[in-house]
Amino acid sequence: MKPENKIHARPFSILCVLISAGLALFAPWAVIRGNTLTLPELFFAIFSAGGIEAFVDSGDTAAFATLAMTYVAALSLILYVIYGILLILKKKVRLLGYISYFLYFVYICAYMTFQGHESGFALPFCGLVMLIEFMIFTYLEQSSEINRNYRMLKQREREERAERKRRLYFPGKYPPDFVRVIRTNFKYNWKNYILFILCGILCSAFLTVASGMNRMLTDIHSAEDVVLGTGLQQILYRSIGLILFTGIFMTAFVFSYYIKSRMSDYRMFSVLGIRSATLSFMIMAEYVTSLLISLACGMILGTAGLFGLRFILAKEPDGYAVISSLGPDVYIIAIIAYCIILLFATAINYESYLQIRNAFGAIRSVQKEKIPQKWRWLILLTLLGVDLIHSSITGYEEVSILNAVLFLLGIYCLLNSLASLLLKWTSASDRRYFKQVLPQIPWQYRFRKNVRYLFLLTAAHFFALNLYLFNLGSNLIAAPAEDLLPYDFVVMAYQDDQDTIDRLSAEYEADVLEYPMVRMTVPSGTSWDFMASIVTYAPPGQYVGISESTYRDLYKAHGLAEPDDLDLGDHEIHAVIQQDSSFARRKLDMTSGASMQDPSVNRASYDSVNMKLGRPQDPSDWESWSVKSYEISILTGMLQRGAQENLMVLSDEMFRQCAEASPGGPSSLCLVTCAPENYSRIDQALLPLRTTHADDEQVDMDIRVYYGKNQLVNDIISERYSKIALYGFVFLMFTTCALFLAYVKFSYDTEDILNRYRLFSFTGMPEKEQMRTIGKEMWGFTLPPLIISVAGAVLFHILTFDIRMYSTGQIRDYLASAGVIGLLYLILQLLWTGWLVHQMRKKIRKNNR
Amino acid sequence: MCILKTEHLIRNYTMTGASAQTSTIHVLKDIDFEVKKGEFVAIMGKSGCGKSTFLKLLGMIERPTAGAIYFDGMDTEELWKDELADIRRRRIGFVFQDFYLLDSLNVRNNILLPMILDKADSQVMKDKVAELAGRFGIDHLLLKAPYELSGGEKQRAAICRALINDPELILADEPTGNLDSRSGQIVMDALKEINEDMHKTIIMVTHDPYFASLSKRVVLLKDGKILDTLLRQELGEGFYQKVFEYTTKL
Repeated sequence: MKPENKIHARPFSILCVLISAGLALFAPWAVIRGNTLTLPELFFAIFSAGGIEAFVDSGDTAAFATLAMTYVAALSLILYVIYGILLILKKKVRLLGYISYFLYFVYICAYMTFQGHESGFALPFCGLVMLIEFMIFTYLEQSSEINRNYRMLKQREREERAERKRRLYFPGKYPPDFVRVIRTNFKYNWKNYILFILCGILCSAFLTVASGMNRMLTDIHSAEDVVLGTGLQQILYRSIGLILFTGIFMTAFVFSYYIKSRMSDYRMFSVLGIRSATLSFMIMAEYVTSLLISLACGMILGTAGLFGLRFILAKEPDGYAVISSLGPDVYIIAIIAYCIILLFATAINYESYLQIRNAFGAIRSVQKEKIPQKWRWLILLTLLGVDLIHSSITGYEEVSILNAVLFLLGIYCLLNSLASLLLKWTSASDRRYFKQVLPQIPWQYRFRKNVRYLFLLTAAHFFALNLYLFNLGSNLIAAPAEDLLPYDFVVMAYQDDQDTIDRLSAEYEADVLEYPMVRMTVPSGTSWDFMASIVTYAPPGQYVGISESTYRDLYKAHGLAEPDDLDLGDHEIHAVIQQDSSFARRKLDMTSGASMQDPSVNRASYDSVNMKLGRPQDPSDWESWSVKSYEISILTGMLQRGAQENLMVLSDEMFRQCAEASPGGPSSLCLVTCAPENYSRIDQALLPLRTTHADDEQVDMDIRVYYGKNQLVNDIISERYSKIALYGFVFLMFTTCALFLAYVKFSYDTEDILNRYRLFSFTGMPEKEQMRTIGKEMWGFTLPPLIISVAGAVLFHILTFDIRMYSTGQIRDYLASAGVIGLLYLILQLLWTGWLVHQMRKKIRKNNR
Repeated sequence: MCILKTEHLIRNYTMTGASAQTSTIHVLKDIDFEVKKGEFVAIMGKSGCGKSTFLKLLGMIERPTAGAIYFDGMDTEELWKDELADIRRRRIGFVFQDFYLLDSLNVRNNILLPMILDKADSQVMKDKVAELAGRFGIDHLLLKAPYELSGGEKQRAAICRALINDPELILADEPTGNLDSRSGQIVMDALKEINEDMHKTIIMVTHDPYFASLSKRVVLLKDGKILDTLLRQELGEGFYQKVFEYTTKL
């Protein structure tokens, strides 16, 4: 680029030169021995004295150096003046200017260093004027340069746009035949789209149902705690996450097959010279049409499902549940979630999409998928897989999505590495290779797709059989709500409340059992969840401390056999977790020092827990309490689903000490039984306690000063019923996903399989052998995921039974309910595969004829 | 007047072997080639010598690894993707061994496809398809689906499609490869007619020495290089004999 020759800020520069020259000639430059001298006067004085040495006082080296440097200043000013004259003559000698600035800068630095004489105002002002001139000039020059570059860039852009327009000029409109071609093609290839559409329908239907359930269950029971993960919505949110995850991978899987099936058409269009934008439009038209059809059908299907669920939920729990009405937000959320699925699924297949769009990529024949080959990588993958599975088993604490994902990740690594190693191993020997060549064919070209398929199918089976079947089953076998609440009211009474308690038996003929208690709290509660980590405040957990004698009395009062001696020592606890079989084994506290895993027995040992007497803000200290043993049983009632209000049993002596040290608070555990007709009157009588001890409820919104059976029964029934519906829905969703995945896999592979078996037929393979081989091939793609999932599910079921301390009776009940459902699931999957194999055999026979 | 020209044309493919090591396969090695307008050139060579790859490069379906391809004086390397698509659509007609007809469309729409993609006028399309179908004897098959046609009929439909936009160059990849000798002869007659009467330039890849000898020039490819070029004009009556001899040597 040719440099610009224009002189910027010329008048201003000339003015600055004139000012500098004027200052140097006529303004005071230096004050020496009381005399104010201009620059010419200074030089004249030096000259008159016979040089600098004679002019300055003997030994004043600073003055000598300063005056010597004044020559530099003079030179700078002379050059500056020349520069000014050249500017007047419109000559641009920027170098001269730079030399003068530099020299003056050197002079100023020297003057500041030596300060051999006092300065007149001309000395700094000359420098200042030069500096301002330099800055303004540079600014104008640079901005002019930038503007010029910008103008040139714009010009180039305009030229490129014009060039682009010229080169890509393609006037006119496509004839009506174009739309007809797309439509006819779409109609003809409906089989290729149908699975894609079906997948979309399933996803959008699941999302509509999930979103609708979320809406319906918002107010289903009285105390919903979204943040702390105790409520139904938490379960739903997690399930929606899983639905999204499954939807994304299922859609991506189907999408990859869809692209493959459409590739030959796109390739043809590309060779015939279709414009890339037109090809993109065509792809998008097909894609968007399929998606819109899926969305609409899925939403209709989902809505039908929702109405069915709504009908069941509203009818069955005898009006316990409060079902919220459905609104447009249900569909908006479903559409947003569906878009998220599509976005991710498209992103996963983005490379394939680009390949289609690229005219050169599209004509390439379908390429062999890469098989991991490097030993280092395969060994690493195997070790990683084994480690992940090992961690998911040894670190198993409860039924959780996280644990399931960990296990499945391990399976994914192993599937990748073992499949690859197996191919490597068989290829290493000719004998093995030729023996295994037929089953290997689908793996040689479709390695990634096959691994992805096996993983997805395993995940669907595993989520269904492990996660959701267990949650469903544990709710199905849970004890009746009435059995979980043996008393009508449970009151944690203060000493001052004694009058109220006495009135209960006196006025309402209630049977009141009173036991001494102390309130014990842990720092961060048991219902603490990852959602709570988002908010800074997580409420503490509140428990009821009782003595061992009271513990025995409670057993007796409940009509149970007296338990063995607990043999508790100082600061030792026996925890009684009050919850039913449907709830995960709770930890007493989430902070350090709370329950830890005992890997040897894989059961929570509740080693120790940080606990204090009273409320968290009470003056007592946090102490480490050793949890000697624990049990899961109902003694006073399932007041907080095992999350709080559990019983902490202390030795009698320890309890006495605690009661003495307790900083106030409730001291009497009152268990009230009354006649049904007196229930509401007692409720009214107890109500003032909530106002009296309002502080207690403010610490944690879940906590109540007293608990009434009726409301809790309502909550338990409605919650359990909703959970059964919810888990049942997700279980069914995964069942459908698994069936659909197997169908998709074999549907898209049909053409390849038919061609292959036609070839086998031509090469003389007997039909019986062909039928046997296809059976082996197809079962090979359905049985391993099922076997892995069943094995994993059985293992984790056993671990969970152990952790939740299920009795033999409970396990028997579980097997009779959830076990049967699981068995039906297996039968359904096997029948489905059998049917698919049968259909494929029929097709092969027909094709070979 | 030269319609197609290649200079130092190289095409390599990278392959990943079983041991995860990549190797480069040199399919075409430094090919200089020229085709004049109105020529009928046959490219021969044994399987795997790079004939089809060469044709794909000439048809701008693939990009060369190195070297240049000039189409009607234009360096195709400097052309944009859509410009190449325009050339493929308007100035080149493709005939494939596997016909590549869309089963979803009837024969008429298959033939019209390049015109539809070129935003042509409906009436012009109608006239053009009628003219070409009549010329190649498939006017009675226009409303049929491709799968209802015989191999020879399919190939004639494909030839009509290749000619529909009146291109200057026809690239035929083994056009008789999937046909019996009678159908093959009909297709070859059609190609000869296109070359001689319609003055289209044809580049045809073939295995068959007889069909190759119907062209005006035979280019013999071996191991990615041009081994020799035989001219009908020079060899006269002995052209077929020479082509046949070379084929056996290849």
